[in-house]
Amino acid sequence: MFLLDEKANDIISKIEFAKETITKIKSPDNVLETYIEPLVSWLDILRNRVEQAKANFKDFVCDTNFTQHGYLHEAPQRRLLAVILRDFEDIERRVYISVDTFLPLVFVWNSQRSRAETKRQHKLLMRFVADLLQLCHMSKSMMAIIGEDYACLPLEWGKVRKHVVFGTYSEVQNLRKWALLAHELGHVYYYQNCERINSHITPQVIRKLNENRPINLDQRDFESIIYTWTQHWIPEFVSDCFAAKTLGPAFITQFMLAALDSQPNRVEPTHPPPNLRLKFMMNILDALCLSDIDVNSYRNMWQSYAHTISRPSSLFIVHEEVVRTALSGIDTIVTEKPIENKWADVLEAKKALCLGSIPDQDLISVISALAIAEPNLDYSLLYKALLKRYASNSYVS
Amino acid sequence: MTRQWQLMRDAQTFLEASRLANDALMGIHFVQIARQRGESVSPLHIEKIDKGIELLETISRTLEAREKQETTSSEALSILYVLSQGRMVGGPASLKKMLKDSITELKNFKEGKIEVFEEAEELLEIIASSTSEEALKATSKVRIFMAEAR
Repeated sequence: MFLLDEKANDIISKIEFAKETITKIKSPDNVLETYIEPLVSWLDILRNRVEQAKANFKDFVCDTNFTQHGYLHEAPQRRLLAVILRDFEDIERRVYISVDTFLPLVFVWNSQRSRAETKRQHKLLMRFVADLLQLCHMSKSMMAIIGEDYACLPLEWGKVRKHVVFGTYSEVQNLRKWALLAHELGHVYYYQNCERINSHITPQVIRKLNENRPINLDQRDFESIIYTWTQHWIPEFVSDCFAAKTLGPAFITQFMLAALDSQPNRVEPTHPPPNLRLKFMMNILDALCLSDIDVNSYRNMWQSYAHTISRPSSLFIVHEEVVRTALSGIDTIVTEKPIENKWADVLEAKKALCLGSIPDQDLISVISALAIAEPNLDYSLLYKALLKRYASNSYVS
Repeated sequence: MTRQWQLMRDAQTFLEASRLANDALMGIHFVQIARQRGESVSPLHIEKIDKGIELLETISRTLEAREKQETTSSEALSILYVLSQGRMVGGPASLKKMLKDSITELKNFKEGKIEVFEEAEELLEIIASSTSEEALKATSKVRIFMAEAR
């Protein structure tokens, strides 16, 4: 047997293992069930790809008389072998990013749902994520896992795209931090609207970059800037806009806490500078015109740190016109403002918290209120009360 | 708050771009070998070359669309970025010419009018290898994140 055939068999056995593991799960819950069917179909597609790659190799052996005892000398033959090997690499990487990343999460999911120490925490987290999705009229269910950091994992299974969101284990009882999950769901929103974003915002941003391109900027750097804006920064700003319009001051406050460091103008290829993100979100907050909110006090709070330690950046990537074009476009695309309907409840919940009582409002309102209030009660008391309300054995969601 | 989303998305986009270019190369080399052996060419291999032509046309259209402020393909934008980071491809004007010549070459090759490429094979190889490299970088970072998450 050829070495490459053995490799193909190894990949197939991985795929078969994944399929068996998934299909063996007895009575999966409603949420996990929505992941199983597309994953099984995707595993079949991957298996077919391996079979096709094997068939290509067989044709290659037949056409070139390749043996494992010598080298091939002619160019097309040598190049074809390289291409066939790269095809196997591609399949292996797809197995990794779409299967190996997800499969262990199933066990984490099942374990967090069933273990006495985590099941109520997990149920509360799931409830919060489900409520957020419902508030934003997004898909009905999504896996949420208590993990290492707030994150969103996009999974591409052929034409199906699923997401898993993560909360932070060490902050699982610090409920106000959960507001940060709105940004992670913003990434899901981005995917659902990426065609509109690509046709409306991306061309405008590229146009502005072209119009304002410095004479001495070489093509390589210019392409990097286009790439950074279109592939990384626009999705991040969309997620910020979504989060600000969904949870309003609660998200912005918690974002400020997370982003507060010594480099507010730091330019990263993956994320826009925190200063820019907050300026954008403050403007969104201003436009929301929520009652009892002084946006300038939020602005001043952030600027007292950011403006003290940094000066506005003169880098071309944050050119004023480019930023303005991108942000106004994103603001137009993200039209829904769920916070407008929630705000009265958030204020009521905030009042209750300041009086030292447990609010009667829904989970999103309570967590949002907690994110902006200075409560007059022990956080752990509230946490226990919410666990009892939403995650007790008798509670049915 | 992490880069997990970006890395997964990068890995997915670059893998897809690499697969399309690699498939086209596979079609080219199988056809070359078949012709060397005086055998008939498989329609499946011609189909792969057609997909390669489609890929180059998409990149070409994206280059044009960027100038005219029209809708661009996200995958093609990623390929343009990767191409610009290497030394083999110059500015947009030379890339446009390279794309146009490569598409013509691939069409002529399919019809048996030429046997040797001047541009197309090298361009597809650059796309396949450089996007594969980017996919590898992103995938490796995803591994670190996933290990931490678990």
